[in-house]
Amino acid sequence: MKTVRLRLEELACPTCAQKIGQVLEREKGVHSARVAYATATATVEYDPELIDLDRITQVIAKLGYKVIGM
Amino acid sequence: MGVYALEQRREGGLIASLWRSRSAATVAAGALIVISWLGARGQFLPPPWTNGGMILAAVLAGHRIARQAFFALRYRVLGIEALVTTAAIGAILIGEYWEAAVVTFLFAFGSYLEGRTMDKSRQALRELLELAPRQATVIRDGVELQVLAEEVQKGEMVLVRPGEKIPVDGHVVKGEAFVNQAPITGESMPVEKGLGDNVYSGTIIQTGYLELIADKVGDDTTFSRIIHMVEEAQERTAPVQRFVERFARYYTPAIMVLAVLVYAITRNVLLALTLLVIACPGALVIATPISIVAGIGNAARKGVLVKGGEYLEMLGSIDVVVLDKTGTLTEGEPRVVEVKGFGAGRDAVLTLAAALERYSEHPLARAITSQADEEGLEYPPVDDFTVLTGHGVKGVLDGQPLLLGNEKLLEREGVAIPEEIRLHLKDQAAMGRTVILLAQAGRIIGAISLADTIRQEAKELVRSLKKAGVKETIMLTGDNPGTARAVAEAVGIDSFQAGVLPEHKAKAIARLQAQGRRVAMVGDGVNDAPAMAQADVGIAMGAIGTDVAIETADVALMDDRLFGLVYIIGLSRAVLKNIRQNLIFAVAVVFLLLAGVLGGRVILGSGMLIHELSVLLVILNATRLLKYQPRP
Repeated sequence: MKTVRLRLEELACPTCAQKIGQVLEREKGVHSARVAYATATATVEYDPELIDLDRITQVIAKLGYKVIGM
Repeated sequence: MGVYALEQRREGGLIASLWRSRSAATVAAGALIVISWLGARGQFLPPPWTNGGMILAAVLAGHRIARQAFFALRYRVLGIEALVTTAAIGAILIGEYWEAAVVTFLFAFGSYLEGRTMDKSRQALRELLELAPRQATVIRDGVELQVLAEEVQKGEMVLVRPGEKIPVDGHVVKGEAFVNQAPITGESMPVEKGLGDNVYSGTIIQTGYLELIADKVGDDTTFSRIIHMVEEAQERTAPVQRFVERFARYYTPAIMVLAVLVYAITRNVLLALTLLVIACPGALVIATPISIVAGIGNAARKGVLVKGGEYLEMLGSIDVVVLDKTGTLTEGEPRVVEVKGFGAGRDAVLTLAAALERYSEHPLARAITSQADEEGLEYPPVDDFTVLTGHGVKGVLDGQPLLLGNEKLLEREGVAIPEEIRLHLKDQAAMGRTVILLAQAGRIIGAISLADTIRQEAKELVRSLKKAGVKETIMLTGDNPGTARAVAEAVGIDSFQAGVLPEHKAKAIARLQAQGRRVAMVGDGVNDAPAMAQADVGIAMGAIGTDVAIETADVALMDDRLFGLVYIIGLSRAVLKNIRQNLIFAVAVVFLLLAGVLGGRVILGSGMLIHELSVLLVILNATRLLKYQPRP
């Protein structure tokens, strides 16, 4: 299990944070995803054998948000 | 990473760039709305033009929202974007072009403003991140080398020159320097560092030069760990917030159901769509976290590490502050406070005592020699110097045998203690002082009183804590009641418990809590760790360099100025007040909006306006906390 903290571009509304978290947690291999609206960070705990960082940032991008750093 | 591909610029004309740039699209939409509105009001533009303008504005401001809604829906998540998109499309379908344009524009513009304002509150943390050292100069295989700070290896020799940042935690092996430790402690008075001293990553050499051995590198340095903890702290939700989020989880679907019901019963499309717009209680959801982020950010800049929003919230409503005596209220080191001669001069007593204590490392001995040094006394070496068990020494000077020790030791050595001296000893003990007696040729000629001196700022502390809203201050100490009373009276503390062993401090705190009081425990974070864990909030002072303290404390003051304590309690009260203002305001907005919509007073555009304004006001209110200054 690996944990990564991603910095996101500003989130427009608190529900965006909830939304990103919900979607990430549905991905196979993601154990938990906490997205904090106030700090615009996503803390994702995942199994590197099932999902990689690229896939995680892709999912976030598909929802319309940018990962701007680690 | 794949995401950066999205940033790639594509060729295209004005429309294409408007499409891609969020701020440009929003501004254009706003301009279109104004032109179309004026055109319709002044009747210089025909309705098809003004309506077309409104629709175009809605599309410009709304296409991004719609796309996000679509992506989310693909993942089976219904977000606020979907609600806003539904409302806007619905409004266009029933011919309310103006409402559609205003709703999408306000949502896009509001989001932009909120993001900008929110950024300000994150600034404190970003400033902290920027203080991180980047470069390091190391000696590898005898060669001086520039490397990135995170590449320094443990045990490696590091050179730091004036004006440079120390890149690792380490100890000095050569050189002397004045170091500004403000990035960690918040205290900008430079600290002198020399051989054997510990230095910390992120601190800056003002003058001087140091060679050090790296003890902790990369993510293990105190600085990195502080940053990491501050980040985590900002994400940890306070109890109030968990309740609010649960509320929001039910509120949004409930309003959506209500919207459908309202439409089914009244067939009023506009009313149903308006309900969708207000279904997300934005101001309520961010009311708490935004204040906490601002508060923790402010604290971090002042060298106070708060481990989570819940501690800030708890500290804000604390009733009792329990302080450990030694090292908190007092210096933790004894000093000579009185020298009395019995048939000998005061200076002679001190000189002879210092001569005897010259070779001793005992804290009391050091206090005596340094007092003699301070007064400029010259003390000669003694002959036949012997250390006795029970903290005593004897020796011979000018053919006269000398003996120095406490009452018990002198009695054991067969020295008679006259009544006059016994009275003096009793008086001194009542004042919490330790007395060392000096005997010459079997007769007592002097008494030296020592005491742990009270810190200058301690007297201010109790008064300032009261002013900050603390109801009671209590001192715990393992010392005897005499010493405890003396210190307690001098600093004006409300009450004290003496003779408390370290392992019983936690019990003493639990007893206070059993009376229904909220207790903060202040200590060094090492000896009193169990008591700090028992307390509602454990505050460690002087935590820099003490990993245990940083780890166990809920709130860690990096340096040991008592003023930091007053500051953090004051700040926590300000944060709590701020959260309360935000919550009351946000709840009021939720009800007013609902009442306004159901009463037909608020429709689409104005609903969105109130929603966005309320979110913005909550954020603005929280940013006031960034400017919070402790009043000295």
